[in-house]
Amino acid sequence: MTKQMPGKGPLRPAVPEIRLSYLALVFAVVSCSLMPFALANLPRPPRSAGELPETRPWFTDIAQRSTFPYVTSNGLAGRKYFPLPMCGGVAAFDYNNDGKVDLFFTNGAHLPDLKKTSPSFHNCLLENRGDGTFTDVTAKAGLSGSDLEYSFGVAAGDYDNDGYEDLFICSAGRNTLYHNNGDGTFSDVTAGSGLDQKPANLLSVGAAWFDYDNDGLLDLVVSNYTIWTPVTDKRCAMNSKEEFYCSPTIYPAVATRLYHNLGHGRFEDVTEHSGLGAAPSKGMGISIADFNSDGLMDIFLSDDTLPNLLFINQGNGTFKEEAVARGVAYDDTGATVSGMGSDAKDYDNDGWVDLVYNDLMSQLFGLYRNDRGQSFDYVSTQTRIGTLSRPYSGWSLGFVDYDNDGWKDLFSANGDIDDLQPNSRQHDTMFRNLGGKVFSDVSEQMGPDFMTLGYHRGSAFVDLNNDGFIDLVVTALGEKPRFLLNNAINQNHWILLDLSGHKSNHDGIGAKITLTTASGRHLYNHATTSVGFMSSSDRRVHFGLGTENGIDSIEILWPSGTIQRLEHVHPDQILRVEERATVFPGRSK
Amino acid sequence: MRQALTRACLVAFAPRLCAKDGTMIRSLVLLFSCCSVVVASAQAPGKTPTTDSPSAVDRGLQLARSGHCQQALPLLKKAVPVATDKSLKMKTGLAIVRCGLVLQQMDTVVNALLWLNRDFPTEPEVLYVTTHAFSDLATNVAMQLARTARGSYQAHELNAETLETQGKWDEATAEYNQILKSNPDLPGIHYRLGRIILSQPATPNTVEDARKEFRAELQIDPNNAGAEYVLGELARQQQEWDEAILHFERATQLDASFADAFLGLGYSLKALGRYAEAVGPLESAVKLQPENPTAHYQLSIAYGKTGQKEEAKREMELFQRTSEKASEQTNGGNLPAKERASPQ
Repeated sequence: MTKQMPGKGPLRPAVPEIRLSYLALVFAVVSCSLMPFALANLPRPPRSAGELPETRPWFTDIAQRSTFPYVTSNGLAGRKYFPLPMCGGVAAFDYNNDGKVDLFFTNGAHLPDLKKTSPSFHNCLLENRGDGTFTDVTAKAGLSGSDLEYSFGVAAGDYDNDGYEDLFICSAGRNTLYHNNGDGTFSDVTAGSGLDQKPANLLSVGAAWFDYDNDGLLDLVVSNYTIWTPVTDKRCAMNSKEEFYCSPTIYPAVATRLYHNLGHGRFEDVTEHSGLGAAPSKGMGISIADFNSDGLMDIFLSDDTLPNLLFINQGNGTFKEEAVARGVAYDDTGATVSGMGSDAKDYDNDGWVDLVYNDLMSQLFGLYRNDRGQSFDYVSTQTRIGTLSRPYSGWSLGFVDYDNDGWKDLFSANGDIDDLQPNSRQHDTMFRNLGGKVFSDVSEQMGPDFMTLGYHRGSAFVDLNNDGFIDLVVTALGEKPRFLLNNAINQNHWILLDLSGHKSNHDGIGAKITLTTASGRHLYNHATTSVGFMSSSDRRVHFGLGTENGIDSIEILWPSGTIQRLEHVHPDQILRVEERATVFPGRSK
Repeated sequence: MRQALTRACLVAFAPRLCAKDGTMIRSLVLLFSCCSVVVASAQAPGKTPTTDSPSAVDRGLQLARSGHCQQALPLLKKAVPVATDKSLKMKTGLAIVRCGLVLQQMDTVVNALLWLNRDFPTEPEVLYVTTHAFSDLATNVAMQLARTARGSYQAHELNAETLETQGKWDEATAEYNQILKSNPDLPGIHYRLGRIILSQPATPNTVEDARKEFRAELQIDPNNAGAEYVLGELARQQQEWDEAILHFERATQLDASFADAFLGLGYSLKALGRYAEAVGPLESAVKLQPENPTAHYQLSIAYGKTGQKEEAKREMELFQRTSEKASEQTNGGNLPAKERASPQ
């Protein structure tokens, strides 16, 4: 079953053969969904390039149009406790299924007691009103987290396939699973779920929902940094006076934890059985993708000061750690770096999922090109990512085709770990992908709101106004987040796929999509919400199409193994796709 | 005490004197005077040698301690070949060095340092005294150069190199250019000018300006492997792989022991996907620098890409072993210096 929700332009069926049988349903869906996209108050750029002033910024911060109390508060008040540089996770998800993606932010706590002692430390849910403003619905939703400790990352996913996105919060204390009740409220269902089983004092910083055994239920992998408490915190200072954040090298490495979804809200900790427990790390960003195209989702973990990890799914409930063998453990000198956020996407459109991580200034962001599923080539130098990234300390990052030219660009939320350097406060960066070969720094063209200096941390990639141009949401320590609306200053075409799994998990996470344009150009992407660091992005799968206004076909390989093919699809729409096998005459199953 | 004074003199006074007076040669003169005073203080009048020593070597050591180096040296030199006690032998050697410096007997000093470092290669006191002895020797020679050939290009070159080490780029450049005025074809000067350009904060012209100097160097001295290497490295950083390969190849042909040039060559070939061709240079790099983790890592990748799985595995193991060793030696691995501070 396939439904379409056009962002603009006429409603057209995506698949001619199902047009008649599903016309009524499509119309009903569209009738309910068109209103939210009439975002009249959001800046809508003129569509003729000739009308555009050359200085028009790509992004405009619209956060100040809304009233909400959230400020990223890590509790810094003198003593530089070890985890304080990490704060401000963000999730972009549609909590009420109204077609407008909402925003959720995690927050820190008071130290040394690690309690959210005041509302300034509360987490925050903002409902997208569709007019460029957001309403604080945290209290109503029951998501303030006032009973939680210091929160880091967040992962959105529909773990129970009820059609509503749920939330998992990573914390210094207990991790939390919030079930979306579908009525605008959430319930803390952690107790007894199996996700409450966690080693004491474990700092869990990020998580990703994915279905590693393709049973239709989203499993959960949690990135853990180290074992730490305020009592065991080490103090690092120059000349016994000026404190700085200690290196993670003085804290122990810990295992990444894997939880198997048993259904009915129960999870089993399979860390040891799966093999993840045998590879301790100081885990940061998690990226989920099928790196060797065997139909099974693998896990990449960027690591702070230790080798990165690449867990290859063996298909029998176990993973094999192969980062060294596949060439992603180290940079090209064989050195480890302070790996932070990560993303896994096909940046050169060759059909193989590539990898990127960011790190601290004077190190180089690591870009690895997938060599036909066998190994990875370190290409930071060749692609100029190395030279471009050297001055920046990056945290969250991700591939995002901000200009819809069909090439995934690279965004990084930047800001040093400490405040000791003249250039500690930094602006974010956008490195434009020039044909999958090299990148160029176009940060300044993104505009003054984009170039704001700060200690930026979390980021989510999301189409807030459903115009097909991806927007950015970025947190910064001690500041309100920025909602950087993409002003869409070109006329490039696009499509957003809103996947709905049936045999597969409802979110369609793990689905691999090959899009062929009318001219025969192939574009690739897959469904995932785990992008960057501590953050969760829009689950809809985005394609920029450049100037091409025709799509020859879209082929979806669902996690269940179902292959679905859509033909002659019109661009510039949000296309809802219900999982359904396509019958290929003459092709064996 | 004398050591402490000498160290204080070298550490505290030298930078100030250098900064104040501008040129290293003048600084060295002052430094030498300062240090000579320190050493000579051991020979202050009024102190007489002890005569009731139980043996010749003890007597020699006592004479040296009391500043009577002229009398001490023959006794100490005679004692060394027959010394059986290691500790006593080391003390004797150190006393010879100190007295040799006082009496400006360079051959005595150098000979003693050679056998001291051979017999006591990890002894901190030997290493400490050796450092200062060579420093004093260098000072002495610089003094000699200043006295006898102040206007020579060698004197200018020494001065320029010193300014370079102090980060006084403009003054060093002026010195080198001064040399080129009178000796336009002198090898090594354009190389150093190129090095200065690369040592300074980068500007849009840095790479091209540096390239001009290294190319000029090669016009004068086509056998300068270092200049070829730097040109290769600059090309590599600009992703100009063909040019990088050309220069790295020339560097390895000019100097078959140039490990970094072999590594650069292998890296550049690898970047172009020419893995089979990269294996040879990387194998050379590993042979020349068996403790270099990067060389092992690069070779492992090249082996892996050419289907030599066992070799790739072996090199990866060597990479991990050498990497751990290097990390232990640097006490903190890749961490910035500030992060190496001990937690409290």
